[in-house]
Amino acid sequence: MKKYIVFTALIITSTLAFSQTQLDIKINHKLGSNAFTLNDTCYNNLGNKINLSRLEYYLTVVSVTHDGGTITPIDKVLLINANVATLDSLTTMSITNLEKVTLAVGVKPSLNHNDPSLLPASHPLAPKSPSMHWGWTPGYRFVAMEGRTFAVTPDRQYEIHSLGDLNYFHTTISTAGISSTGKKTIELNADYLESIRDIDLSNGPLDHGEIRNNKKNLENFRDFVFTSIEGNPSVGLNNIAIDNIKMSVFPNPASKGENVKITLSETINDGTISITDLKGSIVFKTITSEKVTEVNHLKPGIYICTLSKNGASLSSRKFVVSN
Amino acid sequence: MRTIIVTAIVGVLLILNSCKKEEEEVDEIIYNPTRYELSYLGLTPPNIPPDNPLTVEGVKLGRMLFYEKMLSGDGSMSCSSCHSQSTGFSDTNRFSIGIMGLPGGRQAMAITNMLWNTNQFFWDGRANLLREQSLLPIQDSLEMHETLPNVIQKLNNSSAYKNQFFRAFGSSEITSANISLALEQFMNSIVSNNSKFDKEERGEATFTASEQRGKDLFYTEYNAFFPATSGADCAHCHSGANFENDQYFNNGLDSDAGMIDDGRMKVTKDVRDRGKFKITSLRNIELTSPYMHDGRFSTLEEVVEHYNSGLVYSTTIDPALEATRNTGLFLTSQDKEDLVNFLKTLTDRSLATDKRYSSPF
Amino acid sequence: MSNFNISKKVVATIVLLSFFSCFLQSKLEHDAIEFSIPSMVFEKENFATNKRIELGKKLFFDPIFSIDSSMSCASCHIPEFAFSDTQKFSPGVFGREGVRNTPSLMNVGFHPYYLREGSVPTIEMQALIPIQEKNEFAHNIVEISKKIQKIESYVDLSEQAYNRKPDHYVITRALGVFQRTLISNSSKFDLYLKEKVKFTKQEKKGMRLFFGKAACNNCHSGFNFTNYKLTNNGLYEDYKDEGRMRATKDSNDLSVFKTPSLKNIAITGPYMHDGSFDDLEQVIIHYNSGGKNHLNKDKLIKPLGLNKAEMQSLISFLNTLTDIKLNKNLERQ
Repeated sequence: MKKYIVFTALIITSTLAFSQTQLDIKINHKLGSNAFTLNDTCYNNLGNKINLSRLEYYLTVVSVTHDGGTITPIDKVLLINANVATLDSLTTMSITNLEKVTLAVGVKPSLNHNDPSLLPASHPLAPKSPSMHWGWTPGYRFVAMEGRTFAVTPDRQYEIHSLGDLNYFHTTISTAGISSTGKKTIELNADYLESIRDIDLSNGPLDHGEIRNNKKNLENFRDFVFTSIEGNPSVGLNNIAIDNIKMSVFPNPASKGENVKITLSETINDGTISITDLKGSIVFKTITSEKVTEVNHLKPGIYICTLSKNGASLSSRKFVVSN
Repeated sequence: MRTIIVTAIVGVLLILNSCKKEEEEVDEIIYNPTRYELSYLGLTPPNIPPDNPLTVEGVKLGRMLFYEKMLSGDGSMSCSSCHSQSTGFSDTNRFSIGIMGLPGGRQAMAITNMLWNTNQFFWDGRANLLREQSLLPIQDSLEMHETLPNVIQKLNNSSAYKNQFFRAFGSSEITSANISLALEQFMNSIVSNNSKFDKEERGEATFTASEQRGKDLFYTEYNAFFPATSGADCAHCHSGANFENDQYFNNGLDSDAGMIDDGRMKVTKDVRDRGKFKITSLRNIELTSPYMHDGRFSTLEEVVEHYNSGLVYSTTIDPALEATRNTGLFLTSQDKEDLVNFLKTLTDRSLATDKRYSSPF
Repeated sequence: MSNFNISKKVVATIVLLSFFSCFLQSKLEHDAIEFSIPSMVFEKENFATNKRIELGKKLFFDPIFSIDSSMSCASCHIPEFAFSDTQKFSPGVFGREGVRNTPSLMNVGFHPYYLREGSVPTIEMQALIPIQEKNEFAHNIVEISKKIQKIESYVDLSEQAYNRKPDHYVITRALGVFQRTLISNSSKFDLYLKEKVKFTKQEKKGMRLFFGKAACNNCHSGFNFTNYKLTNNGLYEDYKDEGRMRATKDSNDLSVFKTPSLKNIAITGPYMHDGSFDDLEQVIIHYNSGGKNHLNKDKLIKPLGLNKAEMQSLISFLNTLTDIKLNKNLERQ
């Protein structure tokens, strides 16, 4: 009898051990083809001669796709310092074949405006020194990038602190990961020279915020920085295909009481269509995967129809409902 | 002998009596109340409280009290200070200012056609009867800020009041109950039925095209499926000859979070009544600006626009208004102008100057 | 247990406040009570205790917060001036000029959001901003915690108050508790409400104008003389400061600022978000003019038609909003 129980217990433990795999993430920090080193002189694609004295950013591991398209949310935020080797444990889960990982650089909007001082010091979102929090918005710096630019003499300090809910983008990378006993590691290469692609650093900009260079910076993180070790690129959800999505509003102008037809050139999964009046109040909002959306009974006036996904605006059209 | 004495006494009494008669020839103090003839042509017969019928004497006393500054703590205000005849017995101030110089929290309500008010009084309906209502502003520290015993004491110093109380109630003893009954009588006597609207109903006036269009919009229902013929749908709440339905509704002024005044909920303690206020009569609406319980709108155009496009969602918003909120009322600028022109036909110019309701002093 | 000894002072304040709040109600029900001071609501888990207030106060006056240990919170929020500054813009460390006028902290715990653009939801979170701003303390709360943790008296007090060492949590919470105790309810106006003092004729005239003709109370309403709304008051046609739009990126919020409290207004000059008016007379002249045309100007800002005497009366009334016990309270603390 006793033997039997021991045997059963053994079976259960071994099954558990097989089904539960530890999922890690490893990031190889790079500057071009070289390993990332603080204060190394380097050049971006515009030929700006610079170095990096600080590079920290928040990386949210959104989800993994595995075993035939199953999507499992991970929802874990990591504070990455490019000068420190990154090998973090994400979760333990039941996984055999890893297919894709979905990431976002930044902190998701629902966490972005919380009080950091309520968290224990070890938490990635607790106050940090140097700070990763942005005061009066308030919200986190998604990326804090600082260094010297040598394009001018004497050389100058530059700072790129990028943030903003509207710049929180998802990006997906196909990878099988690396398996070892009871463990699977998502291994990514991150080339930070790509993050300053097309950003002119020659005059030592101090860009803190969510527009222009900062938006560009986060788009670069989305589209170019990360590749899998197999060499697969990252595919931003707000990628080129979606960027090219066309939206038309018909008829325009519409007369009072007439149905307004909003047509997308491609289908989009869970896109948000919202219509705002000129005062900025939302008069219509829907989340749809359909190509055509009809809206009726809008009051006469001028409206702006916006298509967005995950907070990022993809396309917008102005239209008029006349009397 | 007995006959002589009796005759003498009678004689003396007669002489005394005749002397007295000579002294107060003009105004005899007798208790013989006369029925007050209320004219309400065009309106439905009123519900006069059976225990406080309108008498000429009672209405006169109420009118004296309504304009009496002794009712306030420092003798500077009367009821009429905030319920001014020239503006439909309401106040043009957003919040009326009391004797302390401090404002109240809600807009002063208009006092007309109170006899057709079938439920409670105040914006939140906290007084069941007009007579209950009448004593509260006297005692409110943000309004007239006086105690009733003080009021009685001050009135007792005036023989004119003592006499008038006797004429109205058969007793010169001044009580707060009698004060409130007199005020109720006077307020009940204020009838507005001589607006252009009334005259049009009686065939004495004709609406302009714009006023007629406005009237049609006022009475036409909202219809989401036929926006071209959809109306402003005002009459569901502002109905009847008095343009009200005596109920409490939330008319979509504020969101749940933005609501400062709980309204009817303060009385019923029922969260379903949060942000609900009494539906007011639209008679003389042109004169009674600003509008809403907090006087937030200063023009009728703003009010119409609120219903047309400015409704704000909250959990207690009236379902009929909620149904229109997403699309609005489809009113064009011409529609709105016409609607306002119609509302202005409810103005009773004669009320503002009617001697029966003006100060007796 | 001694950690959580609720201060007698706090209890007294709360009792006092609830008494005041009952006061106006008397036996009658008003149409909405406007001027009663509600009781202060403390953050959950961060209720006021003697030790917490003591710690918060100590921190508030400690120059350890600035990068060069040159200035404390009180350097700009000067207690004698109802915790505001007398300068247009308060300079930060190394003489760096600020961008907005320092607001008063009296009754600050009642605010629903913080900063002139109302972008920060709690007073506890607000503490992080001046610490970090380059033209204020130019410091970092993690570094400040390290410095404070080396000071024995702070460590002891922190252990007593919060049962943990003085870290970012303790610093922000203690400062929050202290600021929530800064309550102003002893102005001549407050005493007038309780009918303990009489107003002069001019003050009374000014009050009638405030609530009547000038209708200042359309925005400066309630016990704290603000409705906390975010509006544009037509100060300029073209503002240097983008106001709330800085946080929301919404052009409807361009140069829109939070309505400030008028409690203690006489001693909190200069006025406006940029301290551009030196005295109340200039402020009233501005409002009397109806302001400049700005896209987002509130429709309530329109010419008031006050004459000189009326403007003077209005100032007399505004002077009654100054807390006469302010300095006494400070000494006691």
